[in-house]
Amino acid sequence: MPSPEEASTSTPPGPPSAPPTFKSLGLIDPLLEALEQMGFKTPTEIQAEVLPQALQGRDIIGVASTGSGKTAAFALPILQKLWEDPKGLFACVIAPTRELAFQISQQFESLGSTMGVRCVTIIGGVDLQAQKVALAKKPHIIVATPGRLLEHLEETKGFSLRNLKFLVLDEADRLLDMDFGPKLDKILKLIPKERSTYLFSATMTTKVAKLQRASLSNPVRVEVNSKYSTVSTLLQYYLLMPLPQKDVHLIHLANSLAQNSMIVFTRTVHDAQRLSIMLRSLGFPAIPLHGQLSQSARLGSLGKFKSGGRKVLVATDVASRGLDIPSVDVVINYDIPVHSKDYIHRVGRTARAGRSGKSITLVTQYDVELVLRIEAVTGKKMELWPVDKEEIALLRERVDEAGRLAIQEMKEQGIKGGGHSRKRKREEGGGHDDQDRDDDMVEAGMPKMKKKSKGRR
Amino acid sequence: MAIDDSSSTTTRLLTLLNVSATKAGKRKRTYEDSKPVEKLNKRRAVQFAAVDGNTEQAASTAEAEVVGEPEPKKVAEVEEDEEELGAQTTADSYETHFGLSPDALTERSREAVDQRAWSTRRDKLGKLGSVVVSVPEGAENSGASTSKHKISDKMKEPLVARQAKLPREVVELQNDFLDTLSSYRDVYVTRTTPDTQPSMREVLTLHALNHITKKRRRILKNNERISHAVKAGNPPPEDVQDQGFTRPSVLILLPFRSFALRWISALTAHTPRSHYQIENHARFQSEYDLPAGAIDKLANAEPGAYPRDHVEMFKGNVDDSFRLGVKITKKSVKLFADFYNCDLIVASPLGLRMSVEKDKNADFLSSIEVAIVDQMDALTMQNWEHVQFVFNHLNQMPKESHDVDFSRIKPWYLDGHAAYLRQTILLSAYETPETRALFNQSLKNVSGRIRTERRWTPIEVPEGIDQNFVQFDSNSPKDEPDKRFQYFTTQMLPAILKSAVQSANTVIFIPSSLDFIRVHNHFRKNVGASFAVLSEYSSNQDISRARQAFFTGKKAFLLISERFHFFRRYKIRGIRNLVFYAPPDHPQFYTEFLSYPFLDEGVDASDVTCRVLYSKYDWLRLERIAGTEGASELIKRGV
Repeated sequence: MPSPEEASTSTPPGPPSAPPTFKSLGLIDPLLEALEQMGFKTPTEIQAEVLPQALQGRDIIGVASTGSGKTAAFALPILQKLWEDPKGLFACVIAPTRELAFQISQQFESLGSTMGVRCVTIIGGVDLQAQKVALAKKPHIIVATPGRLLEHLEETKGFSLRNLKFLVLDEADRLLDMDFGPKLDKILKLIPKERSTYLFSATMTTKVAKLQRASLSNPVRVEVNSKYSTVSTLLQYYLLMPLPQKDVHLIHLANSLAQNSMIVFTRTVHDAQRLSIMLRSLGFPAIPLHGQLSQSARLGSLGKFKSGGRKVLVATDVASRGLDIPSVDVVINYDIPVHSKDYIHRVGRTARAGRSGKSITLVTQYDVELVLRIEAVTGKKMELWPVDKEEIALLRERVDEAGRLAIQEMKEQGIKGGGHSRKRKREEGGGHDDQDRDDDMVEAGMPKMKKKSKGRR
Repeated sequence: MAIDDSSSTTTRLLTLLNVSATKAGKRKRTYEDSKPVEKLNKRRAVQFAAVDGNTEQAASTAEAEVVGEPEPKKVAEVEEDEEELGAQTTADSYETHFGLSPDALTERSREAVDQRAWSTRRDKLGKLGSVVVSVPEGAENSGASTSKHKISDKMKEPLVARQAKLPREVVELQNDFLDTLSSYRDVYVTRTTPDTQPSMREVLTLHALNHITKKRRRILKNNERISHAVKAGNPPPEDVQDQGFTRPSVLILLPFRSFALRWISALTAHTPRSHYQIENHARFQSEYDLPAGAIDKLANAEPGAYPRDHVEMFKGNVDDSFRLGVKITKKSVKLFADFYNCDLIVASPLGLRMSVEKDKNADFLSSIEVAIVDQMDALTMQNWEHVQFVFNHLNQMPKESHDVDFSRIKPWYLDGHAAYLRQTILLSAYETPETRALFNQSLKNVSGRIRTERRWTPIEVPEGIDQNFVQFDSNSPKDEPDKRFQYFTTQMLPAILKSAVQSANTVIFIPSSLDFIRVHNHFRKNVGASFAVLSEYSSNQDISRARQAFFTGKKAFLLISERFHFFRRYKIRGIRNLVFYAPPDHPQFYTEFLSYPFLDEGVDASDVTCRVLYSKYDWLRLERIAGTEGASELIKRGV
């Protein structure tokens, strides 16, 4: 197997003769029709690069910045091959979070609507029996999180992927790292070697060992921008304040940006829950999204936010990758992400597909180094978000009061700090149901989970 | 009497100890059901399976026999299977109805069934008489009805042999019924009699056996193909979708253990000793028959001591809580098989419900393809809710997977459409609103449904009694009971109480248990007259006291529930006046009560009065008493 270093890199397109269209890229009519219905007119850069290679049957490593149409880039060639040779259990897409898996399968369904593609989402936290039945119907496309998929492969009698033709790892670097690695290894053992494999992400690991796991054969590496980067339409700001004043600054931001739809990222489940209660008690339409909610609650939260029913989503890193919510105007980092990659993914929730967007990172006295590191990676300087100190001072009393109430309410509801609750432990001990671990499990319980996630990244 | 608490306790005790199993002569496999009733002189006495003295030995060495079966025979059978598989592709009704993609199962037909849009026509089906055939609207031309059963001759052999000795009439009925069943439509027979029941049972068990055998053979055949492919290193075949979520595919609901005994012997009559062995038969006999030494009062009573239908219903073991799994293989019929490892479930609604509630799921009912409900009239006298409970749990998506191979489940099971293909066969001596509602609402077979129709002639009653049918007005079935109660308490009862003659020696017969409680309470609180009650909950002591008091005239009124009479069948003496709160479900009860006054010496028909309160919603009951024409006149008469 050639190592990824040997992987040929696609030649950058020469002087563009004419901008490629979906038709000129060789797509078949049913897909063109679906694309038209969905309002996609011209292929994005990554799509234009990936499609010809994929249609030739090459394995692909695709790297492109957030919101650049990666999902369609792998969905289209798969659907086209499916059209040529319709078969059950044709392709499997693996994604790190449940919400992302859900979103990918929706995209498959709408792209394949004209050709009647059948697609199931296999994720944790949902009834196992119904999924077994759905799998037995031999859907064309499976979109899954690793834990639940493995569970089905091992335990559902009569389900196998031995005729699989395509494997896609979305957010591949996340899937290939330590947390998902062992499960992915097991899955790969149960999947035939003769298949096409696509790896996609906005940030891609370079470590050879990790890529070999995915057992690519003669892959082509398609990178639209080689440097991990944020899109140019994104305006990045920071806001410097002392640690105890984080809450009041957040409220101030929420207040001054009240007309926009925004995502607030926190490091812990506890903060996400607390801030959403606080925001709500101060009259902002906020809704939480984190790994300790039930799956239906999670999808419900996301649905409300997407439909515009709620303007503020307070989320942990479960929502940091892949989710495509076009209407997001502002991303606020309540806690600065520890890894610069996470920063890129988080701010990638806004300014998608050519739109503009803002990101504001709350920076305390302890976080300065992290900011510098992020700026080094993205190659962009963040600007200072101007605030009026007096306004902050005015808000302070009410915010503190709301904060106290929020903590009290959480105590009453029995929601404890992220990562330490009994519920969490039981979930992990229970094993089966929650095998697809969420991003916030590691991030959320940082100090305690450190041992477990040793060597991550 | 039939329900003897002490004897049923003994049964249970004996079941535990399995005492009777050790007794000699217990292992006879006779098919007693076919014993004709002499007085009707319809059929000759026939015993099906030859009872040889070695049966006992045979049963005990059975296992060894199976193991040591000579190989050549097996090969021959495989060949036979192959032939059958080839033949099945033509037009076997099993394949057309339960194949991978049945023609009848279309979105349109499912919608039509869900909206209860049926196109109905009347027809005559040979000996079954006139029937109402309904098919989902828009599916009138489906070919489902044309395909016939392909029952292998070998399986039909025992039936054919028995039919040779039966009168032509019965044979014709059996054949017509078998043809009807073969269409895999729902069948609702509303007029079974003690005479037709055994022959129908024979046909139904053959139908069930054929269904199970076809299904199992296909599965075994596919198992073989898969293992061949694996051995040869080929990819396993893809077209092996041949089963449901769980193994049981036939369900038979019965009121009492004694009926289970009759059904199982009808089933084993099709599986002669030369080809099959019956496992656990001794245990079955001991648990489902009366314990050794117990004397069946009803079966041994002199002819005429009890009404015939009562004897037929209650002879034998009348425990109403049981469930039995029957596993059928090529060479054996195993009774008491585990539910998830059996093909046929024989149970009472109560027994099944208890099992479902214990397991907290009804997964073993998820893949029932043929459901048979026998003696529905008796089931309505038990707790009808249990029947509804069972039907609500049929063909639901299972909650657990029970180690099923998901790649072999038929597509329409996965789509949750199993209920649209299930064939349900309902047998009842008469119709009640409950059974009709079950037929109309719980059956969704897209192949259509057949309901037998019957015109009733007026029932015979002693001459000279003035029967006074009183109609009250009611416009919705919902408040019918209220209206009835109101009419009874404000009009009918005051009139009775006013009359000196009519307010003594009066029986008030109340069919519904709920009405019974209501009227009882009314008597307790508002009526000054003395009265006694007889309900299905009365103890033996209460009963004799009440009967005595009523006979001697100490109590002027006697309230009797229909269930009391159904289960106990006491003759009540001292009746001069009869009030039917509603027409009884059992038409013969009407005759019986009208003849009771003449048990006493010197009673003239003119001394007896009879009133029947009815509304238009009593149509089905009224029809059985007054005859179809008489009833329609009564209804038309208006208030």
